[in-house]
Amino acid sequence: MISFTITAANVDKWCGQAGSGEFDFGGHRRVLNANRFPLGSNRIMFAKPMAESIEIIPEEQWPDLISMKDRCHSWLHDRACDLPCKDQNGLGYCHGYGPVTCMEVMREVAGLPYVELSAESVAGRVTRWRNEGGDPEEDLQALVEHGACLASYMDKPHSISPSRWMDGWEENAKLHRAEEVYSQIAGDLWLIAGTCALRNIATSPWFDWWGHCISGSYRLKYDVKTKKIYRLDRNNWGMSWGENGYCWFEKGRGRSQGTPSGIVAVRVATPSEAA
Amino acid sequence: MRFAQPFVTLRGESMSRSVNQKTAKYALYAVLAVLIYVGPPQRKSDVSPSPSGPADRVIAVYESLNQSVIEASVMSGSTVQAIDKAGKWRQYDKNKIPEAMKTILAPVVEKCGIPCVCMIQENAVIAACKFPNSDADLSVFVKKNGGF
Repeated sequence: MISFTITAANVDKWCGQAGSGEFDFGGHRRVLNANRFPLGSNRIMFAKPMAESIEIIPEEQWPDLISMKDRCHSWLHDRACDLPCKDQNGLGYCHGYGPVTCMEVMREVAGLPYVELSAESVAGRVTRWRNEGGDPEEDLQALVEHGACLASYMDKPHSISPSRWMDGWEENAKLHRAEEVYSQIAGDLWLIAGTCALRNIATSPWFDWWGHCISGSYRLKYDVKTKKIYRLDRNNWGMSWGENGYCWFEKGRGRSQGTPSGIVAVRVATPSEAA
Repeated sequence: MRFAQPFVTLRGESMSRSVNQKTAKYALYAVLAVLIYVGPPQRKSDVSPSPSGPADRVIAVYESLNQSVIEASVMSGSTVQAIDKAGKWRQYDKNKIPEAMKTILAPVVEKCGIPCVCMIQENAVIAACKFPNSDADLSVFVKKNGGF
């Protein structure tokens, strides 16, 4: 690992480098433990790049794998369909709701008891407890470093006043940390999101056309007639949205299409039994 | 009144009681000697003796890096879902095994490698094997070793 400080002046020098240090670009200052500044990008990444961490499965192999997984009922959707759908209820914290839903799904996959986690305890740290949007990658970093506490620690649903929360919420959050995470903002993100679906890795994609972040890669389906593949994602807008909170997306970067503008993923959650 | 001869060979020849008792005694000694030498018959298990009932927990240890689609699918397949519904499924990344489970799982990982699956009863491993390549094989392994 190398240490460096990225500024607008030296940004080209550090493109494509991994290391640790300070990020001071565009007036926004962040201290990072492990990061990567992807080529052709004007932002720094906290997590390991997905494309370098998982073997990408070419799209031509998807139809066979889709039918195999259909036969085995082994999609994330098969495991996590009983999990309650989160509802951000107008709060501008989709950047926290997506990654925290990933945590809940991966806990379910690991067989750990279901606990409702507070997305506010993650997104609030990122926005300094203001009700505003943010970068899901920063939420991922908060999830790794601090974790998410149980929703029951909050004084009321969607509360962003931690001074009113039950004592010990920060300690409780440490029980629910993301242990292994990935992120990706460049490259073929349709391919990466589909690969995660086939490999049962919970993702949180976001879409520039929507200005919104959700949770995803629950399932793929292949339409034999049109030869199109669709991906099942889940919004954070409650069960009444879409099909019980879920929605099928097709490939493309246009409005209502499913190629993400970026993805974060949680591969392993802290295996804590205690709530 | 006697209704049958107690010691009669297949040919119908009657034998004296003392000869038969002697034969039975020698046979018993022979069986005892064999049992003492090789031990009682056991169900084949990789790690510990046979189970005496359903498992308390079924645990898989895997490596997240480059996990195959098949392995990930079996770890989320029908058998695992059934075990999970009973609250008995756990899967741990090899680098994130909880402290309390490390001593229990270490011999399993050493013997079976990664990925592997084992069945636990009262904090003891009752069966373990390399993680199966199909849902059917996992189901057979679990049923064969006492179910869950």
